[in-house]
Amino acid sequence: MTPTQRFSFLFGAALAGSLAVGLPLSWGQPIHVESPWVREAPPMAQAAGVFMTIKNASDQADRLIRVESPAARAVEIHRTKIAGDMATMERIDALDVPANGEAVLKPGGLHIMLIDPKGQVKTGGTVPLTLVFEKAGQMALDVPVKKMEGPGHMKKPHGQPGPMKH
Amino acid sequence: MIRSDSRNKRAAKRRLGVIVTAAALAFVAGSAAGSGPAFPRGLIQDPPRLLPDVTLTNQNGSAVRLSELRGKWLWIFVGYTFCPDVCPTALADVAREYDALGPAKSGVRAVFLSVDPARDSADRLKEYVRHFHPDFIALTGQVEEIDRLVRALGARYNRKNAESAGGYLVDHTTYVHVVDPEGRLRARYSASAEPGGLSGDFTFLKGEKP
Repeated sequence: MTPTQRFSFLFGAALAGSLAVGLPLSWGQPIHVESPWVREAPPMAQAAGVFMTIKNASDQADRLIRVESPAARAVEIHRTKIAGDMATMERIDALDVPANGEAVLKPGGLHIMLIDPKGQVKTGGTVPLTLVFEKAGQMALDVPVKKMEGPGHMKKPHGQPGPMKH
Repeated sequence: MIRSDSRNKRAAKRRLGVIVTAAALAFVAGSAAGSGPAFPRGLIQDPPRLLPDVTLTNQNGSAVRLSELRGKWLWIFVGYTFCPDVCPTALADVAREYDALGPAKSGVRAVFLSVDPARDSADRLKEYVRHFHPDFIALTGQVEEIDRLVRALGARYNRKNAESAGGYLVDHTTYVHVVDPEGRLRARYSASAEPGGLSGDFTFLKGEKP
């Protein structure tokens, strides 16, 4: 192999690699994900929540229609709602990501739920997830596991005073 | 009287007209002197309510009467482990409040009351509460006994079927219920909405002798 041939080979391999993996996941795509994290769960937990912000830079609305992971028996999109003093959780079929907008998944609201995680979801590890969008297609992520820090962000029920600020 | 530093004045102004009853405010005015900014940030149960002496099962699988837990303050959170969001958030908050008590935490027992005995085995509960704090305990048991306690606490829950691979879900109130060493309900808090409230009021509640 001459140096030129070698260069061509490497260049071709790099190009093929980026087409196969890099480009569909990042640059030039209308959808991207910011600050994804999985909340660390106890050893025998039947569920773990995944949070992130999904941004849509396109003029077309999109929808997250499915989430897959080999690290759990099932993956669903859920929403926590605080109605009065009751916390309710419900499964939703798909999550709208508005045109030139975002969908925010955070504690006390929307989350991706890992059901029956295989092995403990522990800080320092990552969980592989594939987000499937109606228009943008699939996006693979390795989501880091973290402990939740700082005071909670639950919406306060009615009839409770606000936090004291110093 | 209320101490006259500006922080307390501001806090008092903000608090007026919020939840606390006029009686509670009058009480604070009479008792907060010398004990720091000890306003009740939770909803005070007045008069205190004696809780029924239910028999439940703890995280070691042993039967426990509620009266056996007397002698310490209880901070009871009602939830279930198949709850990836609200319960872990609240329990992490309770752990923070508990540690904020410093040495006084030896007078408090934080309790996770599971309203999902069908799924929450003793082993599961043990692992679950230990994850949030090694001192935490868990209780569950027969539905009738759980329900008696839940009603007396002023909590509510509702099991509902959901089209989820996890099976049913449980809607539930999100309070931390404070029970005194004599087994009487004294206050409730929305722990996550009130950082510092639970630990901050502890001195206030201990000083109150109705």
